[in-house]
Amino acid sequence: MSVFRRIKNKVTRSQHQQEINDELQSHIEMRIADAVAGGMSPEEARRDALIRFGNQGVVRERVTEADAGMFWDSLVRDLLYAARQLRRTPAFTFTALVTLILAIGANVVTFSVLNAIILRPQEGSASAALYTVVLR
Amino acid sequence: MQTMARNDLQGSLDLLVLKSLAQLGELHGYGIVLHVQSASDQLLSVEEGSLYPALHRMEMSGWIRSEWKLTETSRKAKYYSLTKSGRAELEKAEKSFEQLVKGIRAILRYA
Repeated sequence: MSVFRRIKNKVTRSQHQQEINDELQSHIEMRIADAVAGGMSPEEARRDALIRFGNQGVVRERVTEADAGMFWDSLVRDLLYAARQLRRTPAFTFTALVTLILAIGANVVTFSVLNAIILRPQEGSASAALYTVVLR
Repeated sequence: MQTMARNDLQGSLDLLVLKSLAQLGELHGYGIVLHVQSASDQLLSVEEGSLYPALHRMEMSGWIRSEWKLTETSRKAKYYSLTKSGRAELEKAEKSFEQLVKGIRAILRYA
């Protein structure tokens, strides 16, 4: 399964639950339809299908676990792999790190200065106590 | 040398699912249940509840992929099919199963 699919499973949790539900439901509905086609009454067919399927809540939980368990396993594997790749190419790692450090540093400095001067001037100071000093 | 632990019931369920998909190409869960039952002359039945956790686990392992499609009776169902690594896994599972049967048979015949 693709990485994107795994992430999607995590992010859209309720949608994921819905999809599992739909899948189990479609199984039960198909079983009922076949039984009815075989001559069973709809009520009887439904009861039979539900009994055959077993505890839906437990099944749903185990399916969710199957999806989630593998996610963390493979996430750890992916991260370890990434770390190994970075160690194997020190020049690239160094360049990437320096670029990130400089860019983030420059942004922090620029924002701090702009924030203090333009966005929130004089905050926390008693503006009534401030005077303009002019030389005559 | 095959160890028994690897050939538990879960292992044989994986084998049945992978083989069914290899034989019929594309199946939803209910289709797999029906196929295993009819192809085994009603000797085997897949426990329906345990099928779906297994399918999702195998999909997460990259052995099978899934797609929502309409059935012949225009019902929405999730269809599964084998991936390339699923084919390799099937081959491994088949070999492993043959070994298991051979081993058990040897023990049954031991005198």
